[in-house]
Amino acid sequence: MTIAEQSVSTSSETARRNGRRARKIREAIEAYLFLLPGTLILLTFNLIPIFYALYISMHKWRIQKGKFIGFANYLKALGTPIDILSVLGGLGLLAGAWMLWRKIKAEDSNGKLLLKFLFAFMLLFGGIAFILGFPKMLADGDKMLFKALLITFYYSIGTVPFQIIFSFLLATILFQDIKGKTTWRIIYFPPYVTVTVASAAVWQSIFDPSKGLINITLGGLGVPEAALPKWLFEAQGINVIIGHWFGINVPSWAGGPSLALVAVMIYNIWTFVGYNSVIYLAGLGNIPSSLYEAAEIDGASRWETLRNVTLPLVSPTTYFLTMMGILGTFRAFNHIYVMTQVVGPVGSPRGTTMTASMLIWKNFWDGNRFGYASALAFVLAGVMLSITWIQGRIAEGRVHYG
Amino acid sequence: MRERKWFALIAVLALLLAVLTACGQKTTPTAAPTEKPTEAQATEAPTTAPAETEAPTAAPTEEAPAYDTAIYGDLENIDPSGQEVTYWYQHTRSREELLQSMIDEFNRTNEWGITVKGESQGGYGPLYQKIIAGIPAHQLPTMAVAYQNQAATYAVQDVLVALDPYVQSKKWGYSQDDLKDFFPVALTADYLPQFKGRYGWPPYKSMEVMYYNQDWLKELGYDGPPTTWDEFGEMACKAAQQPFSKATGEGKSLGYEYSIDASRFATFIFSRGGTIIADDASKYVFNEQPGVDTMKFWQDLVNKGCAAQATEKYGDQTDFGNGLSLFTVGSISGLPYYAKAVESGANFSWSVNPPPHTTAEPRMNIYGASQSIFKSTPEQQLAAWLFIKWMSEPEQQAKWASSTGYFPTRQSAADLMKDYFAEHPIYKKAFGFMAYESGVESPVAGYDECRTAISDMLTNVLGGADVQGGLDGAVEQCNEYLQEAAPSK
Repeated sequence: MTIAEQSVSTSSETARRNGRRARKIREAIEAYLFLLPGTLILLTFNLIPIFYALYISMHKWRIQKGKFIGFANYLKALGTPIDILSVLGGLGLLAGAWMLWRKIKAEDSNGKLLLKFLFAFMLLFGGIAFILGFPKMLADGDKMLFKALLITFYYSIGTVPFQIIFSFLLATILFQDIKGKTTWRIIYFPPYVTVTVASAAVWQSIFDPSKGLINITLGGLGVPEAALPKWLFEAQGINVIIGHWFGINVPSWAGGPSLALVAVMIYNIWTFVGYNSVIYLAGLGNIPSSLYEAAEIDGASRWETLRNVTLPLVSPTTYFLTMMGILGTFRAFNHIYVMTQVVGPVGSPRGTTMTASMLIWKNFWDGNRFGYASALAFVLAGVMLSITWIQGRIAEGRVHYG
Repeated sequence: MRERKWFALIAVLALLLAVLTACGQKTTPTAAPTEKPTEAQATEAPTTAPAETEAPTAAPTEEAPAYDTAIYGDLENIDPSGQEVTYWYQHTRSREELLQSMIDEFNRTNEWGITVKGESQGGYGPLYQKIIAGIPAHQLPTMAVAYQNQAATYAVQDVLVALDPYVQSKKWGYSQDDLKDFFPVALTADYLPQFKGRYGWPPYKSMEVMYYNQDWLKELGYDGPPTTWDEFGEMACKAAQQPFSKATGEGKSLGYEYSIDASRFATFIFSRGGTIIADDASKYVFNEQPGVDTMKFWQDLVNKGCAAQATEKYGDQTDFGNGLSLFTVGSISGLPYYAKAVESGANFSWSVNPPPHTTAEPRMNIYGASQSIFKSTPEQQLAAWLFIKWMSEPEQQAKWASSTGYFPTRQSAADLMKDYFAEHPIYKKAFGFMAYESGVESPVAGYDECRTAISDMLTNVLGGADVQGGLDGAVEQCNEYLQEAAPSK
């Protein structure tokens, strides 16, 4: 090759490289331009409001902005800095210890003894910090907040497992070769797509103590008027009420959720069972039939097939529905508001339906405490993130993606 | 392929631009309906009205007209011609239709060519919330309906104008004779002690009364309604045992059916000579003896099964109409609805009376939202004032009162309602209660929040919680709100 040919070849190589680079840049610009609308929408409607809420939470903000108060709203909610440090630090150490324990169990490393020592240290100090800090936090922080978190916890525990069990059973039945399968599937879905306010208002009238369908039916079955439950108007704990039936005096601290909250839970389960069933049906449809055939050839019973084939293979669906269910209960507002509105102010009766989201609303709208309500929203977001993290760690190794 | 990609990109950008442009656009105010106004039912002949007419106690209006020209402009020389103002109110359905027809009439007939655009916000709650949200966003109407405590909340945020300069203005205000025509109770209510000024103007008023079933009382062996709380308790418990012969519908027979409402609690406290807030508005005092007596009495009635909470919205009204509740206590503005409930229910003889009392004479809870003006331009503020003043003219008051069940706030308006009084004896009887002494619910910032605390207390105590503990807790909470919401000094 001559020098002239070499030079032509180099320059054409450079031109090609430049052309490639220009195309790459153009493609990158194109990609960013396509990303721009979504990013702008996300920024405008999600991220900016979140940062603005954080900004509000650090001010004395009653309708309009007041002076900067730093973390005072957070301290009002959660107690002194020492309390917060003890509890969060303690929980952090306990979580770290748990992660470490999983590592120790999974690995066969030489440094196991050191890890075990570290684990013991984290467990011990995390536990002590939490045990010492938590009661102080309860005493120094906003008692309404902790009560609301407990009620939210009740609400979660009282709804999500039932949603999952009922919807799985329903989906399993609907998955069989039964007559009118599609019709049944349609019948169970409307509660989810019905406007919440409308369906909650209907359930509120169904639970009406004197004119509601449930009590009229119970009355018709011979339940004496004095024994009819007051449903949404009943602040007594469900355990206390059940205890009465059996002549046991259950102390109020062990009373559990109020009957009013139980009524709201029933509504919640009714709403989500249909939707969850449809998701489960999709999950069941994805299990290869060859696995069932193999199980049958191996002589597995129906229960064994369900236990060892179906349940593990729908575990991603179960995990998804559980996570969404729990997060949903922490954000629940509309139906609780509508159903209990007739009883009294937000959280009625006697504050027993005051979930965390209701408390935030109460502080924001009833109290005009914009700053404090924003701080509470961040506390709730923190709780939800922690729960999601724990759920994720628990699910690891238990969820099978086929 | 490349062209298609670029086309898609341009389309996305164009869509984004359109969305952003749409977000930035101002919303167009709702157009006012064009229906013709209804005919006034009032005539010119005077009728029986509460025997009052002491000189109005509106001390603030008699002070020298010193005002901030930056807010009000040169009031006597402003020209409000051609102004367009927005008016937010809570009324819906037939009341809204009537109000819109009156707004239309004002728009057609006012000499300055002012245009009022009325917008219903669906109720007192949404109206208040929308204004609260509108304050930081600077999206407020020119004027709105507001209770006195709500006006105080807005005034703390410095978004409201005091109305004293308008009232006192030689050109736009009222003469002393005109002011004497207003009932003192109406004028004093809008004076806000925290600001030492008037922030609302009252075109109508309401009051809490006791509704009672006359036929049932007769069946129970009583000649008339109770005047003391002891009598009330006795009759209520007897009614719970002996249902009304004409009762219809589902439900238990009750002496008194109630809905949870802070105004009801205030009514009962006033009837026992007490008050909600200290006279100097420095602290809440409803946990004192009248409050304790009220809650003990009420709780006792509930415990004995003589009283119970309504289990649906307006359930007390419906059950009264069905002959299932001997008494209810509520606003006189509910009168037309009670009449309908009785007519379509058990159809019996009924009436209203002042709530029972431990004071020598009945002591009423007379209240009502007024009209407040938000800070805008001096011209717009004046235009809003001229509309409010027009709504307060005797003809307008008479038209509004005779169609809604509210009370007029001036004698000359009552004088125009002779025929209406003759046709509506219960309304006429209730109007006479305006002459009684009355308590005033707290006209301070933070009372709205306190009302929720009182409602919480009512559900708790009537659900069995300790009376004194419940009252003390609510007072503590209310005082906290009072301090938080107070204007900065």
